[in-house]
Amino acid sequence: MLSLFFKNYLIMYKKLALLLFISLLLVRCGGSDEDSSNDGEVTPVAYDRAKMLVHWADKIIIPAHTAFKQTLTNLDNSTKTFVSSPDQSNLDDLRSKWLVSYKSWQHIEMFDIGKSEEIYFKSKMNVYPIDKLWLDNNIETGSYDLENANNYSSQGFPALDYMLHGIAESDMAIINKYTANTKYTNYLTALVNKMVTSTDVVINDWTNYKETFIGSTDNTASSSVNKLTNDFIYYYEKGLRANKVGIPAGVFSGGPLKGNVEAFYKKNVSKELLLEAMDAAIKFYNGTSFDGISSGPSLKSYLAHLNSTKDGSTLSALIASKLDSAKTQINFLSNNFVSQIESDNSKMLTSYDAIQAVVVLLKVDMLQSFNINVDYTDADGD
Amino acid sequence: MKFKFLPIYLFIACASLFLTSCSDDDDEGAVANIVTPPDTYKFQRNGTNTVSHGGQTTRLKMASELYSGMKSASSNKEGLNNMFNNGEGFSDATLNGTGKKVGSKTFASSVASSTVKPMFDAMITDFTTNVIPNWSTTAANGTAGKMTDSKRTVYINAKGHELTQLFTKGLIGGLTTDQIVNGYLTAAKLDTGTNRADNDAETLVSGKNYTQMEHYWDEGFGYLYGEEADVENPTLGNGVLLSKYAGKVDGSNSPGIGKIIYDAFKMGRAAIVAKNYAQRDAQAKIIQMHVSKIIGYKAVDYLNDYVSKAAAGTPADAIHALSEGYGFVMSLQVTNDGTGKPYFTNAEVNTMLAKIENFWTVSSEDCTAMAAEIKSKMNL
Repeated sequence: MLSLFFKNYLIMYKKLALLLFISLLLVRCGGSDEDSSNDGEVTPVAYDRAKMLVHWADKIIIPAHTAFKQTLTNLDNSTKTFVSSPDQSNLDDLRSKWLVSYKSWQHIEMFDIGKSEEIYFKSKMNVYPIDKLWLDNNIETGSYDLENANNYSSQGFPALDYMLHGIAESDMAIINKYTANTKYTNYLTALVNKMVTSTDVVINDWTNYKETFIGSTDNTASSSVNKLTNDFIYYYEKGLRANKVGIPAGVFSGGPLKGNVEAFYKKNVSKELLLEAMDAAIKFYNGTSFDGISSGPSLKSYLAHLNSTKDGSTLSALIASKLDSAKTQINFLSNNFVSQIESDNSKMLTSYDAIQAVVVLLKVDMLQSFNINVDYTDADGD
Repeated sequence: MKFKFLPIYLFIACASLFLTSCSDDDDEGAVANIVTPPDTYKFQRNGTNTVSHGGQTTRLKMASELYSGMKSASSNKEGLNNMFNNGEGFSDATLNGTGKKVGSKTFASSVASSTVKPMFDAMITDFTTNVIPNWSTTAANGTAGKMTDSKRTVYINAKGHELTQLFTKGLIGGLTTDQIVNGYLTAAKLDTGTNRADNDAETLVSGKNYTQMEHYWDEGFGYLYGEEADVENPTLGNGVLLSKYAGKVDGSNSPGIGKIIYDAFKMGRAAIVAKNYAQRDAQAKIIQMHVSKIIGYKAVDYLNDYVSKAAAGTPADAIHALSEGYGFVMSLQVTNDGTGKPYFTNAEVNTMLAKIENFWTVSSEDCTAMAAEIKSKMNL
């Protein structure tokens, strides 16, 4: 009995060794082409990474930041008007400016690079759920340091969401808080000022940082293509997939956590924000310019250049089509994720699965094609 | 040395071009190191053991208590939920406070559907709120309760499910198989971050005697062998999850499958030590396919058992078998055919489960057809 096993094993092992031997030779033949560049490219003609970086900077990242700044200026102006005269019409106006700006934010959260990364821009703009106790205490005492990491969950768009929709039961009661007590107007003003200041720091830095960014074309862990590609995937996996859908739907817990949806106090815009984020991700992947009227070198065209395939299909097209499928699934959801979770959480989970299907392709197949390492690790080990 | 055998290399390379095309997705730099098959799963560095999978052993033991809890009338929802999702409240005190949870590793790989894990939470609710209060009620279609025949007594929900069986057999796929074949043994996991460079340089995990890659492989190993008294001489048949059924399949459906899997585990681990990643991945593929077959064999067996036991006039015994079958069918969606694909997708599994959803009205023809389909698709 045992000898039979061993014999089978030997035969299997010999076959395997032969296969391995042959496949190693094939790998060698693939890698020994005439134009072996020194930047880790595996194709004869290297993809023009510099051109892609210029496109990313000039046509996507910088215009997206500029557009965001405009929405924030409008939000700032409406805040001043509301603070000087807290009434229903000014509250409505401020709320609408908040939403427009929040949507615009979805286009830049993924660019956690350069100054953004250095000043923890995204942590200051969009950490949710808010820490209500901490935030209320900030309002009450008027003493806080928004630079302190403990305050990341008491500022930015989620804090404004609470300040504009959640501090009291009715609009009248909310307005009364601002009329009756300067503590509220003070904190509201401080939040908006902080958002404006942080954004200015990031935008101003791009003037100088752009040269560094587009000049860093090699394939190392600290080069621009590698970092931004990692940022994009990280954002898609955590900022979009987990934060907006997975965590509230209970994928990482014993049950749903509906208090963790984005824009919890406004409630009926969670889907709108998610769709905006999906659009931003799709545009970035496809290389569509921020204004939507042109396109340029992208992760997609880079993959197409490498002729990468997955199970016989073209990887570049497969990712694009899976991103579209994810968007289709999201469209089945209710505008209000709290009510969607309460009425039929399985739809949230189905959307999560559709979003997740792209993560594997981006993180494993795409990065392997680019020969880029994942620069972050999952917190799922033992 | 590099060019010594160039003519024959070229000859084989050219010949094999007719069989398969050049792969551009592999970054193997040098001719692979030869890997010697080790005698057992024993690996040391500087004379000290490098194998560790305590977290897996813990979860396997937790699953055993959940299995008992899901068939005990003295369980309650909070207690079972606390065990499953929080990893607390076990009677074996060594399992508490470990930070390990079965729930967070249930159908949790990157390819598993997030829609499945909530079914386990729902089973806990169903068992504690419907089955336990009807412990002495006679079960009927639409009514939870107990059913007895000459062979056994089962406590079932309104659809006739013996929930502890669905739960536990579902975990054989959702916890052990998924974590092994779609998690730890995938190149994506093993090569995470700088794992390859670290393994090449033998850079050890801080405070440990193993590289991250070695440890990931061992964790995969642990989901099958974590309850062995001696991993150098495994018996299989331990606990309530994969090991138990690997032992059964090895003893009946596919004699020798246990040795194939064990050999591939130790050969793959030796390949990691030898920094031969092509060899590692080839062994992973053997494990993925054979572990998947264990699920397939048992799904087929229990579907067929249901049919014969129902025909023999032992409905409780038949329902017990179908409950096991249901769990193994659930598990099919996290099998791996060696290319990263399951033998049956989430949607295909849901279609099968829909056919057997109500055990009171299930058709034997459907069960037989389903068993045949699984057998054929998985080459069993």
